[in-house]
Amino acid sequence: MGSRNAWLLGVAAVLALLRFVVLPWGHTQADAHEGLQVLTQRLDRSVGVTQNRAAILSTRTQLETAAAAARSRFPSPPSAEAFRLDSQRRIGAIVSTSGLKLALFDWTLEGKLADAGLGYGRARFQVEGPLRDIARVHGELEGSLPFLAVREVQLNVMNAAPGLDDTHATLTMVADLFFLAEANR
Amino acid sequence: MTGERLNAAIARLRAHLKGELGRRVVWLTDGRRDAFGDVSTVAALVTVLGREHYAERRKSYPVRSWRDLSRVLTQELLGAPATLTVIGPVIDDRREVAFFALSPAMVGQLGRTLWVVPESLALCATLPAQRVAIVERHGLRYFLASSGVSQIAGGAVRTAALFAMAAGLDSEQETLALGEQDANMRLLQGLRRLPAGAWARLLRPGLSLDPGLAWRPLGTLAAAGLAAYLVLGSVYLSVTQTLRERELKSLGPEVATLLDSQRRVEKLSGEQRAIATVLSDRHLTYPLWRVAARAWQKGASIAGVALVDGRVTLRGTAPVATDVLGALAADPGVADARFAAPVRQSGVREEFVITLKLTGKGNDG
Repeated sequence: MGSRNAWLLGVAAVLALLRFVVLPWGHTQADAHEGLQVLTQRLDRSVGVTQNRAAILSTRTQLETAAAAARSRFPSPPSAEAFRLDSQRRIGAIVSTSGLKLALFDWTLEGKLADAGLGYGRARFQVEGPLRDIARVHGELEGSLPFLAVREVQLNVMNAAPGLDDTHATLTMVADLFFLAEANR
Repeated sequence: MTGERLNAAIARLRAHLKGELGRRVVWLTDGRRDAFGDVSTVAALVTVLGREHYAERRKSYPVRSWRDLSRVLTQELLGAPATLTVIGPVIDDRREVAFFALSPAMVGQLGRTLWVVPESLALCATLPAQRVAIVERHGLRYFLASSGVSQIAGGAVRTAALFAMAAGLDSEQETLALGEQDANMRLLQGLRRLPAGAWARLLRPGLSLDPGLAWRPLGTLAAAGLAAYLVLGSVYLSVTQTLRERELKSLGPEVATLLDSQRRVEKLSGEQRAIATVLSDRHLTYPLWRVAARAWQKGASIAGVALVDGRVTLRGTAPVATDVLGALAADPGVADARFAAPVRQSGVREEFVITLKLTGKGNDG
């Protein structure tokens, strides 16, 4: 009986040792191993950047110049709402300066291109007036607003005749207008 | 050099384990000896029971399942004197069982052991097929067939030829003579060749897991291995961590700035690619007026122009619609120009619907 008790006590001691010493120790080792992996990756990266110091710094300078040039074509409004208002005003101004009528203007969609650091709004607008002026406004819109990308165009001409004349026409456009998102200003 | 040392260490370890195992295999004949023939008193893993200590018989059962036959044997031997049984392979949907009835006097002398293996069972595993052997050792002489059948010499069976005839073997075949040393040497070989099923049947019933037996060194070895693994693992991790941190420090404070620059470079590269995609997706649409101008040159009146998904659809009338299509197809900024609907006559003019794609070429002109 004594030997049996000793045997049971031994088993209990072994189980307690496994539960309270070996398992926690193993978990600590697993954590330390993960930490070591992270440290090793950091070290490898640090050694890499030290060795490529000159290349990294010059590439950064070049990319910042190129990025600034690429961004300069997009407006940097304080907010998306301000951008929409300003864009609508600019398009309205171009249209009215040409003596045309902005019959419709509607924002149908808005979104963000996170990778590019850009936001955009999709607008649908309709211009009415003489065909000759409509052609000029179309070119002016695309030429003077580099952040505008036309997706769809629909031109309807009343009493069509050959050539650009004063025939009444309607031009409907769907366009995306891009701006610099807040994080990229 | 390191390889030679490792090989030597492995060889020493193997020799040590072989020696330990040999001391734990006990041969019980007129005395108690280990596998090297030395007198032994230690607790055994395997006790090879001398042929003089059991009576052997065989019986065939129409049972295929090893498990079912084991249950049958348990029932059959309930209350019978101590008997070891080994179940043979299936032959014609039957299995043959070898019974080894232990002499009552011997049961008390077995001592602490995990397995009890009849001597004839171990030795027959070393014989060539269809052969008979005469085993003579410690004053005992018995015949043994490769099939496992054995019989102590005496009575009607005094010669190997008679035994071979009784066992159904060729009586004129040469007989192997195994002396004490031969038998001793063959025991370990025979034990190694015993099938797993035989070991399962020969495990000593009612055996208690006495920690004082072979479990103590095994447990100690396992515990030492585990402790060594944990300690060495912790030491390795700790030392490596310290070395890496020191190496990182030695690179200097500029590393943080450089890492920041590298992250900035990666971000800017990604941004550049994404902006380039946006710009390349921007196709100017005002060249469609040049398309309209080509049509007007051919006397066309254009009632409508639509541009959706890069494809332009032109609706109108002309004196000759094919002239309009020909002029458009000849434009370098136009591709895939074709009639999208049948051309219809409307008075003196032809109504047409033409679709085309703007290629972006010739926009300067």
